[in-house]
Amino acid sequence: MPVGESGFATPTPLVLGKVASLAGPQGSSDDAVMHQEGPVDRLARKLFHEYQANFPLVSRPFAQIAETLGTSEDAVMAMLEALQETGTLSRIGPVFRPNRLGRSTLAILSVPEDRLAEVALRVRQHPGVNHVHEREHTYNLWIVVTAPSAQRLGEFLAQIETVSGCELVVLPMKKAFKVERRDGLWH
Amino acid sequence: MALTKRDARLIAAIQDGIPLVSEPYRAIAESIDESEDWVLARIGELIASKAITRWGLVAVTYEVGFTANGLVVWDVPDERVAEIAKAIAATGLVTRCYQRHRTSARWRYNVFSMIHGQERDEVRERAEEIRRQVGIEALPYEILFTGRRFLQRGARYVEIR
Repeated sequence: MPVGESGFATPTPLVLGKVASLAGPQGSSDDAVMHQEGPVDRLARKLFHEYQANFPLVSRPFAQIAETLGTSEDAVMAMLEALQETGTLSRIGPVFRPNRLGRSTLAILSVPEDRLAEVALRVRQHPGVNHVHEREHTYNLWIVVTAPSAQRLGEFLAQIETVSGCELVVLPMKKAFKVERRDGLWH
Repeated sequence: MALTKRDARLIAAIQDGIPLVSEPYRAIAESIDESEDWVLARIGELIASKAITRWGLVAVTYEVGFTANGLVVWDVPDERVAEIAKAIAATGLVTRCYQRHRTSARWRYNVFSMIHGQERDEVRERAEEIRRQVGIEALPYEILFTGRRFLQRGARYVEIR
């Protein structure tokens, strides 16, 4: 799916509940939707709400955020580390405009079911591959490939097809009609 | 924008994210033998020129927290794509809607949209609702549910050797 070509999100209470459980006893993630939001969740939510863009470009960004949110630099850094460890936060950094600095595309592969995990692991080792998802279909492995140039992208795709041993269909973006952020902002 | 060798080194150093240390930009600057001031200024310029569309927390995926995620793909006649894709987007039932190039006889679909839910039936019902609202009951479509996620990371525009 096209998620990789920009990629952003806001965690839901379900995910925040998992983070909160690091800080103390909580309900399981299954009932976390119902749980009361504690201070840990509140910090995580604020961080995601305020800093998906405009992350401070100053010497000590975490200290500045801490000051804004009324907490400590250590607490901000510890929370971000926890969000990374629970698999909620991918990174703090750039989302590049697709096809500006380089070239990227979606590509799909049709992989025999019993080889899917093996092929996925092979494909993800290619340095140009930044997303690998399974989708339930004959074309069951969906990948996003990024390269410094159109020529390199073509080479990458050929390499990936060879490595996978499977048929690959390239599906470049033509036009985006809607890309929504959960907090209601538009990308 | 034209990328210099210095830019390429900077992008290689930031594309997987900044380190969680008190002075992350200084750490990046030291790793590429630049000054912290230059790193900060150059990232600012890449944002101003919109080469970087946003700078901040990147969540692992939009799909986090949803248990049923369906990519709905539609085979739309080329001359009707703009009208239909806009109408699909306007239903408010999808989070994303793209047109992709047709490149293979083996893959007929050219409009891609994403529905997030907690149950597969909920996703199916919303796809039905879109077909009715947009009046595209006659168009071929499929719902592809998301399975395992094997990898997600930031795009790497500079090759790391």
